[in-house]
Amino acid sequence: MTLQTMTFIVVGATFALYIGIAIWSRAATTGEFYVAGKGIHPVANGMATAADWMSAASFISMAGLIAFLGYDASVYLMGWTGGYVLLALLLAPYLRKFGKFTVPEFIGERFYSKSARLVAVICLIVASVTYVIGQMKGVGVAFGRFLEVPFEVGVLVGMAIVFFYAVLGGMKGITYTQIAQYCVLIFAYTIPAIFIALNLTGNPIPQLGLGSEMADGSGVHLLDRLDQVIMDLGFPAYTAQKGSTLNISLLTLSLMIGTAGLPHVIVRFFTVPKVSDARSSAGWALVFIAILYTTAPAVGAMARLNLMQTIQTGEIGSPAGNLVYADRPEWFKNWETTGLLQFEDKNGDGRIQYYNDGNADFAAKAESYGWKGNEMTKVDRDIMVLANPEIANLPNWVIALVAAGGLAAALSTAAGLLLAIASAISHDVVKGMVAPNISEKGELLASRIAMAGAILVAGYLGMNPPGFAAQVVALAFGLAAGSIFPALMMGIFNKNINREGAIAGMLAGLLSTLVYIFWFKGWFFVPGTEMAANTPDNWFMGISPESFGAVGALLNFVTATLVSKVTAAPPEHIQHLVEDIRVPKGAAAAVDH
Amino acid sequence: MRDYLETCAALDIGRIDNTPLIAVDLELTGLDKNEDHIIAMGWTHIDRGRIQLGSNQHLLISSAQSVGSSAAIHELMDSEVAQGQAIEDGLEALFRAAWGRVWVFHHAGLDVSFLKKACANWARVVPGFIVLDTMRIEYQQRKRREVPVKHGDLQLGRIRSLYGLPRYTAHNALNDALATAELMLAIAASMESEASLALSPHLKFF
Amino acid sequence: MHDVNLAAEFLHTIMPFNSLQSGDLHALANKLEVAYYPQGKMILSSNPPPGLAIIRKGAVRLVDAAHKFLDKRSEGEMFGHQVFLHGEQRDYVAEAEEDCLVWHLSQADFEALCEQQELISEFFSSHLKKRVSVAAHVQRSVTHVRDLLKRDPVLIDSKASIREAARLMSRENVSSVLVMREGLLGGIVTDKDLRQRVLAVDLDPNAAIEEVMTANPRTLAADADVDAALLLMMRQNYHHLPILDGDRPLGLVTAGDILRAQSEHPLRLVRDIYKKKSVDELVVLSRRLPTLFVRLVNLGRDVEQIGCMVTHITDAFTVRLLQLAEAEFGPPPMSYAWVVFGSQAREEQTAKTDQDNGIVLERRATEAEARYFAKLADFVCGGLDKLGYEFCPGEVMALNVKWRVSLAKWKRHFDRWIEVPEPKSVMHSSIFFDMRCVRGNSELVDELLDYAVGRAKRNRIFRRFMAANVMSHRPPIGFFRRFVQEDDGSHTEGLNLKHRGIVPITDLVRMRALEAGITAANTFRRLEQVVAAGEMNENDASSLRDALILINRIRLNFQAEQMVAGQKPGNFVPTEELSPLMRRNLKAAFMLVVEAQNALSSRYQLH
Repeated sequence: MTLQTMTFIVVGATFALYIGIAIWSRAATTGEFYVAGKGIHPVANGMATAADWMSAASFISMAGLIAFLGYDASVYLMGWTGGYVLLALLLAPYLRKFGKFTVPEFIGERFYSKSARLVAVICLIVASVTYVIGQMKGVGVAFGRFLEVPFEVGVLVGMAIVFFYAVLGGMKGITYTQIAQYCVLIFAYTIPAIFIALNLTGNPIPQLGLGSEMADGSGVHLLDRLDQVIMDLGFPAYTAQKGSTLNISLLTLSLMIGTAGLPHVIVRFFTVPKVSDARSSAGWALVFIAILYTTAPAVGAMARLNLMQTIQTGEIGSPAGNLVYADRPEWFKNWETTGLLQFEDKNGDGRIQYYNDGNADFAAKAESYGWKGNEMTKVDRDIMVLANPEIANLPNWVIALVAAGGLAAALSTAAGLLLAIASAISHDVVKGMVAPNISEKGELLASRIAMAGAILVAGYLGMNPPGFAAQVVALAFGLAAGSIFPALMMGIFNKNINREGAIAGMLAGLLSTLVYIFWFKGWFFVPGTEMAANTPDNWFMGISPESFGAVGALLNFVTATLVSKVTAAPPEHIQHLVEDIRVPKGAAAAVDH
Repeated sequence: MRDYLETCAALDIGRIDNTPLIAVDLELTGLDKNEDHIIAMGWTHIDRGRIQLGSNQHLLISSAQSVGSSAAIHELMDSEVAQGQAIEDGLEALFRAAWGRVWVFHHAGLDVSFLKKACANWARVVPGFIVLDTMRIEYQQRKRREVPVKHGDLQLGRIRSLYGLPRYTAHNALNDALATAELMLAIAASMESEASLALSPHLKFF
Repeated sequence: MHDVNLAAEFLHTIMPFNSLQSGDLHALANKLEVAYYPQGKMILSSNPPPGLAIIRKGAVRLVDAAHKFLDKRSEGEMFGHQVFLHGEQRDYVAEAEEDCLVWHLSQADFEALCEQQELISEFFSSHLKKRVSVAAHVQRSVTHVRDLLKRDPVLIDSKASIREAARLMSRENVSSVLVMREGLLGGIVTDKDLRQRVLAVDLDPNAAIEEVMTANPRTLAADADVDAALLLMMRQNYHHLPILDGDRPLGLVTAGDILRAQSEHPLRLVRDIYKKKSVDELVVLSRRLPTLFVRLVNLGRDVEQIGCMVTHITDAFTVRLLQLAEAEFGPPPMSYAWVVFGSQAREEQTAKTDQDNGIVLERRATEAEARYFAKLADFVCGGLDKLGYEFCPGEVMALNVKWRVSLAKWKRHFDRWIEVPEPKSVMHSSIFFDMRCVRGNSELVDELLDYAVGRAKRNRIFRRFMAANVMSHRPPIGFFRRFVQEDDGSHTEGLNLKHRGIVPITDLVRMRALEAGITAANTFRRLEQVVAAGEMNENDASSLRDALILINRIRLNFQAEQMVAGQKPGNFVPTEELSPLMRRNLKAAFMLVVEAQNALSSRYQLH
């Protein structure tokens, strides 16, 4: 059976599973089911949350980033995990007390202003759409590879499927579908990792394998071998810190506080009735997320090692040490079809040389070997997780499973985000501000149009990507960090912040972050419109666009505080409200029983 | 036109049950027969005391003159009127439909004067009209019963509501012709119950 | 062509012509003839077949050869076709009850139409047959309260003395007199008032009559429906109702007038209920309920009124039981309110009902007080059970000590449900948000409702849980918009109209009411108020309203049939017994509900 057939079967089977669960639970939800079931167990809810949480960025892209950026990429792990904890402990309980589950609603009421609400809606939409771009990129990569079509076609197919999936809607939100998605996703991620770890180190647990010795009997540790292999080719050491400490810290911070502002995750905290249940499902979710997150570094490192060893088959510099292009493996050809892997035979020897020609020292050495530059002109990092099992020669069904996992990750997150965007536009903007007397049909239509619009924008930007899935997502987090998070925090913890302050703050945060990003990545990500090259030398204080969210947040805090100082204080009842949120009154009522 | 005039002579006029009628309404650009034009005609037949909905006809008449401010009443725009028929074709159809029938108008004076003017231009003949005027009949009934009549009391809609007839919201020549026809039936029925049987005393010749 | 669109437009609003394509509709309109009939005039006789007649305006009565009343038809209804009574075809004559504008379709055209249009022929062969046979059981000659007035009212000036009033009443031989103040109705005095407020307390008969009158009594306009008068009297337990024409008193209607006009009626039952002295006597009375229900349904009364009337009978039983209980156990030790929940609170009860009730106490009860209310609840709930209002399976009854608590404790119940919306809490709150006081201190209930609804309005997270609960009852429309049938356990396929139709609508409307902070319980009232509050589009509201009426109508008809057949009324309707037209309308109604649910789930990000 060919890989493609197998992929169709496995992907089809997982979809059939989701749809089947949806139909089954829809049939079972009439009355008795709901009453009989005592809600959903925290473990189950934790799994569902984990599925919601882990996007294509986590599944497809993070390991790829780690494979190429090495240790620096671990900020993604730390930032996202930290953000999740922040959200669970610092924000969700208070929002719950306030009785609001969307950010615009909270901000609209806390800052007693429709304009504040509108600004929050805009911030949320910008951040969410950016996040969807990342998902689209991931879906495009997966479809491109497994349908063996160019990446752009893969994105188009993905857009259609995501739209269908989100509009049909019924499949999402049903916790059991998401549990199924989590299971598919986690199997798809860990099984290849186990195989590869076993191959390379003899240790079946990837997390341990990363720190083990190579299985070839050389006694060298895996990471040392990797460092050696890539440094020999002029790449910086895998385990070295490459970015400035400031930049890395800010990136971590941006990712962390950005997480808190994203709408689809907040909603998850309000699907369990009890605060204590919410807390324990958050804990379980963390466990389930950790399974993937701790595997990612191992997958990244091993994938990189496998890739390098596939191309550099022998000694560096010897003519026979490099892979003959004509003999390249099947997966290599397949990825070439998608355009995400490109080779150009610069020195005309019919062999592939893959090295860092940006490293002047090594470039000189390479010259002496007769190499005329790096011939792997494009290695898209997002292909690493998907290509990994192929590179390691794993059985076809494992490879097919990875495709299904990638799709599960992208779909569950994209659908959640799109629903949040659609609801924000149709309810907050159209019904709330533009046409209060709109019919329900009209409201529903508005939400569908909003969804389609978001998919189109995200799809377009997914094809003209400003970065890799994880980096695009990082931008989304940066925007959310700069705009929404500070408004939420100040709304809860500082009763003196008023309407004017909040609006000015959010705008300052959003615009400064957006402009900084566009400055280096092109206006609206259109290539060629950047104002300066996106290199560390040009960055303000060495802060990358991905990291700027934290600075935006700071600007937001400062602006809001200053503006609030010079304008009228918030009304009395709002101040009381803010004080009330932080007093555990609900706990008192509960104890009474 | 000649055909029409010949049949007029043969009319046998008696009760509403055995007199074929045609209820007509015109839409005009104004009230001055020398200045203004007919822009739409609507009519319907009454046979054996029943309105024949299948005979309904509504014609737009093209006019060189702009509908101007009258558009507010009949909701006809210049562009629609421009697509109408020539007045000659309209008159021919109207008089063909009116063969052997007594005319029914609400406020006959105005509509008849326009029709006469138009006939004079078209057939070089000014025909006589044998007419039942619902407004006039109602006026006489009231006078006979010594009911005071105020300005506006004799508008079509007002009288209709008196007879318990439904309100028509749309205002066009055909609806008004239908409304007039229904009113005619109602008036005839009320006269019957008052034992003033025949229509003849109410016929008027123009 | 502008030709006959008015006629076609009107046709389009009436069954069964609304099923025609626009081309067919215009063709049909072209064949119509319009005739006018003054009041009293004969329009047609059914033999030989006179074709179909549609009433454009006015009303028509059908009488048989002996001039006995068969049926009445009004605007938008039809006659001229065959009419069946007790399965037997009847000849009749139609005459104008009011001035009428009638559209005639000749017999030949009518037959041709039936031949071409299956739905229409079916409509005339089945639906109308049934309708007429049912309606013919009862005379519906009286419709306006004006028709009940037998004499001019007896009036007296407010400054007149009590003695003068008493003399006037004896002279005129009436039991009540209307008191006029500056030309307007100021009050009413009845025999009972003279007895209780004058004689019993030794009041000076020279005092002004206005001192003992019931000031500003409830009145009704002369053209109000008799049923409206009935409802008002049932609800408030009034016996005299002044009838006004504008500001001018036209006369007085008594409960007896209405009862005499309509021999068997809910109001008579309510009156009888208040006369009974023991539970056993009430039980005997309750046996009349099924017949009464069938009659109400068959009369073709509108669904809203049926719900109201059935509910008020239940209310009357409840109140009477409470009165009996208080008589037995002595007056209550503190102010309390007897509240009802669910369909009784919404005034939407039908044939088959459990009891859902509770007690709101003014304050925390001492042990002795708690014992009193335990006995009270035991008496009333037990009594209701004997009357056929079975115990609520979820134990939402005053019998359960949990639902027999102080106002403060009730508030804490709601606090908890809203803060910790577990499935059971959400289910509870959907019952308890439909709350109405039937006896006792209604201020307690008002305060509780304001509190609870206010909290629910502010807390969107709680409402999201409620919305999820709403979504758990879906109309029986599956993929590809087909009916989803289910099994009732006896292998007949069909639809559960309550769970699949009524509950989704009442749930949806409750959601919207909570969003708008509206405390009314009745679904129709809620819809009106939600629209008035600008929270809901008017068209959406009337769609839901129409859907509810349609589904309920079908359900009530089935329940009535089941009761006639001696079965227990249920909510399960086998689809094959529905005509295609009915099925189509039902599906349209379900689609409206699906649409509203989709909008709700999008708003709360549920899917």
